[in-house]
Amino acid sequence: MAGSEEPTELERKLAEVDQLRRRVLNVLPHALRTPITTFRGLAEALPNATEEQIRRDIAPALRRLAAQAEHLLDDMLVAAGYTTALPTGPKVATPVASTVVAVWADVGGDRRLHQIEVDPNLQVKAATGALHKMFVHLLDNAAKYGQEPSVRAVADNGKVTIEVKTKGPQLPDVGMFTEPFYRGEAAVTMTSGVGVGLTVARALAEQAGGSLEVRGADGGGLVAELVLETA
Amino acid sequence: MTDAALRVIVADDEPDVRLLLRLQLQGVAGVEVVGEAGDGTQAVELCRTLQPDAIVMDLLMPRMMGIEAIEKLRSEFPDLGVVAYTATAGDFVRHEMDRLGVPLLLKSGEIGQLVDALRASAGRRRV
Repeated sequence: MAGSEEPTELERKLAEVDQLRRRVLNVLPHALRTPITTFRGLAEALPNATEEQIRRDIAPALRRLAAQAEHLLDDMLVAAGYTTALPTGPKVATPVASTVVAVWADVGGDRRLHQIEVDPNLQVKAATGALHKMFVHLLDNAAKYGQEPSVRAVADNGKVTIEVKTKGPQLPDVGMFTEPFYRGEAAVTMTSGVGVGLTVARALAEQAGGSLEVRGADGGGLVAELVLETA
Repeated sequence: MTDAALRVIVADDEPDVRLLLRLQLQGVAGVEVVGEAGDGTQAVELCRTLQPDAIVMDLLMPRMMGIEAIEKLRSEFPDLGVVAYTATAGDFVRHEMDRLGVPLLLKSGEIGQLVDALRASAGRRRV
């Protein structure tokens, strides 16, 4: 409003929308260009490739890229607040420890989990595939950006609190980490991505009747605290 | 000028991008992919071991970013051809590549321009 020092509610909302638009435009072209151009290039390489190259290398790569695009689309929809891409179906008992181990095998690369303190019999209630996807985002984040990743779970009074912790520098912008399309400094300078992983993990946790909170760890690093119902 | 192939290292943290570049470059006469690196640290180490003529360098990689790796390579191997190959490039990246004298190409899936840039950067021209 002209002459006013304090922005109006409408002006604040418009500024938030503009920030979100800038964040989306900042991450999306990079995240999409690589899989799209790689997909196109591999498709164009098919006529000159040997059958062995197609079977061993190109076909699996095309499948991976298609799956990557599917996951990206689902995650973006969830991060944008659409429930259409959230898992469907009733909540079922899902083991925590074996899910952590299985996901880490996929996302951890040659790194190892520094510590895992989870009762092998501990189970939580979540839609089929939901806990797996929550851990994909939480552990992928830990593997890429943190040091000495650890997972600890404690059951109490019908709830399970699962803490995924990494060491690292102080994170002054940690409050923004679950905001959609926001990428922290380490993320921006290290690898491509969309900045929706923690937003999606939080949406999945809330769908399961739980919660996800992210905060800076004492001494530096990140703690993601996931609370779910005990099965 | 000799008839030896242009020996190239491909550095990108995406395995499928490395696969594509390997497939595309192996189809180009006079070019040989001699190594692949998944991050900047590995790229520098491979250059020390394999002594290539040129390297294709992604700029956004874990452990050591492409820009940092390029600076190390520039000082350690001044004759090495370097081409920065990235999905998007803002003003900062364009300015840094200008400063380092490194050609910058956007990932496009098309190989001809990349091969030309590698040959020019390595100071060698072959067909």
